[in-house]
Amino acid sequence: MNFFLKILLFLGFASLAACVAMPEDAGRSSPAPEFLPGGNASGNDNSYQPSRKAASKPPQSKFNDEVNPAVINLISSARDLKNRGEYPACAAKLERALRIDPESVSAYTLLAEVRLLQEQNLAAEQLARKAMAILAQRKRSSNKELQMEHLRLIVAEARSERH
Amino acid sequence: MRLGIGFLVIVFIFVGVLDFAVRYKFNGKRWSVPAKVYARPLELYSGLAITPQALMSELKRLHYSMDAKVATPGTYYFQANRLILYTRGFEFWDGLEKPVKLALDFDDAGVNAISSLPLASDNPPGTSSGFASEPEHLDLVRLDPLLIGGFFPAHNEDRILIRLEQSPPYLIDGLLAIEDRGFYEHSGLSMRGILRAFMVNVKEFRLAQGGSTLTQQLVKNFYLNDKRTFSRKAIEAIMALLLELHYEKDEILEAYLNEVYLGQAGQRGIHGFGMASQHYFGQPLNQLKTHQAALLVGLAKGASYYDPRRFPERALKRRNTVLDLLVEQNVLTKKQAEAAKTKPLGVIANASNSDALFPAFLDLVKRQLQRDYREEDLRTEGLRIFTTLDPRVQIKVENQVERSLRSLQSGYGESVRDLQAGVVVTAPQSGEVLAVVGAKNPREAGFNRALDAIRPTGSLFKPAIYLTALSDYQNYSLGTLIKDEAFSIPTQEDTEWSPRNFDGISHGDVTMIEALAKSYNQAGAKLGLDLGLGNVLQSLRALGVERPLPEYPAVLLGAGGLSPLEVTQMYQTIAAGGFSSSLRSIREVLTAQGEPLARYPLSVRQMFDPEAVYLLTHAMQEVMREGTGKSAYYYLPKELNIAGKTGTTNDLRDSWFVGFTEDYLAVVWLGLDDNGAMPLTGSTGALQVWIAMMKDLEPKPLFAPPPEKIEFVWYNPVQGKRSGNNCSGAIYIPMHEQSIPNEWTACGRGDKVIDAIKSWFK
Repeated sequence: MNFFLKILLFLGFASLAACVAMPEDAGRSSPAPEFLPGGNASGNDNSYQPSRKAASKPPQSKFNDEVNPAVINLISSARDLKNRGEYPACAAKLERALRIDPESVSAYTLLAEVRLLQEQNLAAEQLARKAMAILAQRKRSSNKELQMEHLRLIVAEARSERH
Repeated sequence: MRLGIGFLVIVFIFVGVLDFAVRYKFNGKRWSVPAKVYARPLELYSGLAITPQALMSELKRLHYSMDAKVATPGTYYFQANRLILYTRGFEFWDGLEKPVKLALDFDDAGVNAISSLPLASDNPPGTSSGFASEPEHLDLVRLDPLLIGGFFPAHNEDRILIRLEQSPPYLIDGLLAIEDRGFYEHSGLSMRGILRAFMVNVKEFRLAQGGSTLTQQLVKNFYLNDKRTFSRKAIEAIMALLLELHYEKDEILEAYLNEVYLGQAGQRGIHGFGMASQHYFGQPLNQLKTHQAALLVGLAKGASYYDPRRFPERALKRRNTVLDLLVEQNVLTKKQAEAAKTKPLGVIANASNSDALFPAFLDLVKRQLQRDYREEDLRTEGLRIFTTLDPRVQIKVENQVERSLRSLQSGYGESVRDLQAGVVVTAPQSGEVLAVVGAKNPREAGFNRALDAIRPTGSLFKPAIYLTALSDYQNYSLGTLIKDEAFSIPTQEDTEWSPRNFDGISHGDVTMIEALAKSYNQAGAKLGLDLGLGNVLQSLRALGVERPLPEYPAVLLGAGGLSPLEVTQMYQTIAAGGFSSSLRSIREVLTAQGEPLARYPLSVRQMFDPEAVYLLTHAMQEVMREGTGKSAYYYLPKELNIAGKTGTTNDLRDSWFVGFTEDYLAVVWLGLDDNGAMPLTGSTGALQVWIAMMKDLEPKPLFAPPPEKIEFVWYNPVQGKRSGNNCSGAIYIPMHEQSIPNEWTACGRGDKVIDAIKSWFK
């Protein structure tokens, strides 16, 4: 395993550890509730030929990681807010990031982690699933597998906490 | 003597009552402040796809002014692909966005780089600062949001509360100079003022002059009506003295700043300097310049007489009088005053918060708010509501709806004279509503067709049928042959239901992809019945359709009916890859004090496999390439890869089109309010409006890469086998790995074997 991969793994588990650290956060008074209104959502046989022009070339994958500095900036301040326990503010930053890049896996992942900390397990699981669905469209890479594994853990934790 | 005591007691009680009245109102909530509704703020960052022209239109809407110096907030200048901008700053839900001066460099794709420029105050002239002169790179800057409306109380007073320290330079000085010079000295009444007024009144034998202090004026506005009688004057004087007894000068002054009547916007009275600043200049009060502050001060005496929109000359004269007085009082230098006098009035044409702006969208916001707040609180608590409206999208959509309807009317004549429209545009992934049009004249409040026209959807339910099938990978793929042929089934009322195709022809065995692309009714209905009505209805519910639908076969072809907004919710789930998100028009609500009150967060819920939705989306792209939506690509670039679906109801009563790109999902409905027939199908009507909208919006191409379990294969639908490239009878389609057959047609296999052998010898 190369050095880079090790660092990624470490980061993955470090951020995971942050969401597992429930007992510490449990004592903290929870921030103002972010109330969720409404509980939430020609011819015969085969003479037909689907157009080939656009279909014949499955589109290339997008960048595997966020490249927009604005998105990176928002995610990093969201991370700070998460560490300070300011979850609604953190979520607001992540939603801003998602408006700029609606397919930011990092933003969805962090949002899922925040929901887990807020004990909104159903929301956490669904956000993680969304991140997985976006990730599944991307090119294979070690980073992708790592992110996928992290998301699976979030889903597993969200499901186990729910019962 | 006794009479004297009795009189004293009466006076005592009377003063006590007045004292109670004075304190009661002043201590309590003094004003009801209507909720203010804002559009989304524009976020600026490098990589933002926007032209300088589009950005400058946004700035103009926000009443920024072009000024080569760019020395104050709310100004900008554009030259040679570089926009210098001084933002106003704004208090958002997640914190204060400070005013910044920045340079935006544009290239063909949009904003290329943003760097901050030093503010004048950072680096005062004469001081040589060793740093802060280097431009700093900025990742992200938010503009202030456009005020798009409010919820007004019955008595129709509109105001924005301000604090004393928010008043711009010279406003207070000017106000005191012109209205009450002795304000900080007197005890509520000014003897000099009274004497002066008395002399004038005696001279003219009537009550012409007030001679009122600010305190008296406040009392009059606050507690009394407008009648000028001597007894009123006496009560006013006593109350003024009482007010001064209980409260600090600055408290009284602040109350005056928020209470004074300064203009009229239709039914609404403009009260206080905070609202007046928005009303006349479209700017926050603290950023007004000297000549603007002077104009507002001048209005305090008679807002209708000096109305700068109706009587600009009178207002200008009044403003300059105020400026002269400021020189007299040594507040301004003569030079400053002369400079201010050269400025035009600078009043904006129309108040940006006019009620007529975007009524259909505001209607949607209001309905969402009414679920969570009391009507009374919306009208009085001064809530600040941050919505998802994108003014750029909304305005373009409005223009294109109006234009397209006019051109349809000139093309089709009398039969579509009263053609109406309902349009909803959202951001596909988040479900944020960007624009709503509820009538052919979008500024017309009233029947909001986007929300309230419940109309049969025609073929718009078909994607739910195909999605139900495509989720069953073992039994269905886009290449599965289904039967497009006439059939009838008995219905409950002793009649028969026998769906017909639009062209009147049955097409026999057709692939699912073709049947959806060409919107064959018989094939779609047959497939739906094979799958089971209950299962299709289940899929519709999973897609987000909450309205109960009839449980008879005609529902497969759109019986029942939905509003354009409900249709949007349904297609949102498809556009977002099978994840449903409630459509949202509100992001956050702040209290009048800027405290966060509520957020309406993004939530997603997976309702379908990404693979099944991918296959459906592919077929909906085929609708646009080869099917009923084909005409779109006469006008739009093919690279957009639009996914869409047309909808036409029996006898052409409703014309629908739904389509999405990477960044916009838009639903268009056209029809007549009396449900009459028109000569328009989904393709010839609604799609044409959709095309015009998209042409103007310049969307991003839909980018939907296949999920891992999807493979593009050559497939022979008749034989149900895989095939080689370009074999006759084979089509190239995406398939789920579970649907891909193991068997190959003769053509394909042969090629494969030969290819393999060839490759050995290479």
